[in-house]
Amino acid sequence: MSTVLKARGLAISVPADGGRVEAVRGLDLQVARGETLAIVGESGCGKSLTALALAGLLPEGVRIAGGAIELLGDEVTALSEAAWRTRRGRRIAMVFQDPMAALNPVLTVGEQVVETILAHRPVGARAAREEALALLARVKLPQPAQCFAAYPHQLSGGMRQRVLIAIAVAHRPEVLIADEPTTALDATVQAEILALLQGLQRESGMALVIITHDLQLVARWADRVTVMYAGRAVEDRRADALLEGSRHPYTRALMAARPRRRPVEGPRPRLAEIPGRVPPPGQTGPGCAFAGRCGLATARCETSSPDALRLAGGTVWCHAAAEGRLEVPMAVAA
Amino acid sequence: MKAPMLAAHGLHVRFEGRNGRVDAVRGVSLQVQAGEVLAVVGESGSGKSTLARALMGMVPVRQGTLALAGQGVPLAAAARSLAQRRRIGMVFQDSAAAFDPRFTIERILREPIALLGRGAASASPAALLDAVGLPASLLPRRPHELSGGQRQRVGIARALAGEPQLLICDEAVSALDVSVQAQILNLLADLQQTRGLALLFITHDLSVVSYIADRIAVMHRGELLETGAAAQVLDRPAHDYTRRLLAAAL
Repeated sequence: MSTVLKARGLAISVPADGGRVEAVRGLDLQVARGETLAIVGESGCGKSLTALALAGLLPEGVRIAGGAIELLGDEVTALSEAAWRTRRGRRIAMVFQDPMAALNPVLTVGEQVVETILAHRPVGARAAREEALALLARVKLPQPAQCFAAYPHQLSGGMRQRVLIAIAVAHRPEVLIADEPTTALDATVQAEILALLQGLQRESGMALVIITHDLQLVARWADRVTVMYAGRAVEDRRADALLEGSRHPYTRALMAARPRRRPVEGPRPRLAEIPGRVPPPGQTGPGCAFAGRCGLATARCETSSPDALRLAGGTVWCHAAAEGRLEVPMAVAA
Repeated sequence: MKAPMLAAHGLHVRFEGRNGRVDAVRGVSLQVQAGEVLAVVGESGSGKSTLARALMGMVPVRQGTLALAGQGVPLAAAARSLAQRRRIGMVFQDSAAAFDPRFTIERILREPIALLGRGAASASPAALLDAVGLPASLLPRRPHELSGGQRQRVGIARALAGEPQLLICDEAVSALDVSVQAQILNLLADLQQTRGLALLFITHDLSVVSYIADRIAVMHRGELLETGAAAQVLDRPAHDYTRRLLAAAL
């Protein structure tokens, strides 16, 4: 498989208290053509900053502080906005969580899709309109002509997300990054949107990077999963390998904390809480960032950062795993 | 038989706007028994949050009746007595948005105590924090200094100020990370156990429902489609929409 997007040792720094702290550190990622990579983690783990960095969309003041990003074999780590503009859309595109915020409320859907088409290709007005209608049909909007004429607020959340996806794939990008694409949507709509993304991926062979907090979603739709904690990757596995058994205490704790069905009789079993909280950027010690909350942590975990440990279907960064101190694998309840 | 803790009958809420009218809640009847957890499940636009607000008397109700422990209660909050208002507390999805960012946690908790909790034994800000597992050392802090989980605990503490018998939780754990969500669900389950608190748990998240609910009511387009014991609704849903909802929930 050919790698289309790759990050090596990526570090992203954000301003804090007059200085700068690294919110993402030493992150390695890669995704191949036609492959779906999920980046999973809780708020503050750095997953959304990573997504923005990959698409060259980091906000003012947030910077890539180390490492390199390669898009289609071309180093894009320090590109100017002008250089990014020639790549975004065609090579890489992004879909955000909240389609209402990403769409312009005073323009019709059609105007916004046409605008996107014309941004990269100077076709005539009629051709652009035809193409826009075809795109709206391609993302399976039920009545493309009516959607074309509608304003964003006249559509449902699921339809708006389809419009956003139509805009993102207008120039057939090689890589599509979707940041929590279904979090704001109803359950019945979530599955439809994920099926749409997968369908578009199969048609075009694009690589898909899904940013999510939802491990269960990942289990169903991704080929590979990178679990992030406090700015670092802690586990990077093939989804099927992760399903069979996570090899990191944090991933396991996340799985155990999920609410699950109570027994019909008797009290609810207590859910497994993860004690403490995620250390803020810049306040992680020299060791594993999860050590302070980990039931398996030893003195070594506090003082030395774990090396990558290769294992079935991926990599894990954990002293306990390396020392064989993990209990039997815990499967994701799918 | 003892009268239910809360009984709503034929509630109807209509919103009139420039683009016509929307019947957000259409003839909804439900009962919550003392100490039980009733989950109201539905997708966005199903009317579940409007139903919560109607029970609180926060939106005008066109038709219907409401009774607490067999006693009729006015539909508008303003017309309810202090004793009636104390019986229901409410926890919102984003508690932080409901707090004045300039106020300390102490002041945020003093307000509902002054309004509802006068004379009640547990009515001190420190006691309320203790009830939700937070230390009194947080009293001088402001909302932005707290973690999301701590803020949601403060939201629950505030809802407990009147020593309610029923807590309406409107998507109270939906915006939280899984690890924090587990803490809040454990806390709510504890409160239900130790205080005999009834919960009306409004959510779109079926995995949360399967964990917390004794009974489940399914809402769709303003109507209650079915209500039943949790196992019955999850395993043998009566309505086609419920089946679709369950199938979509991974």
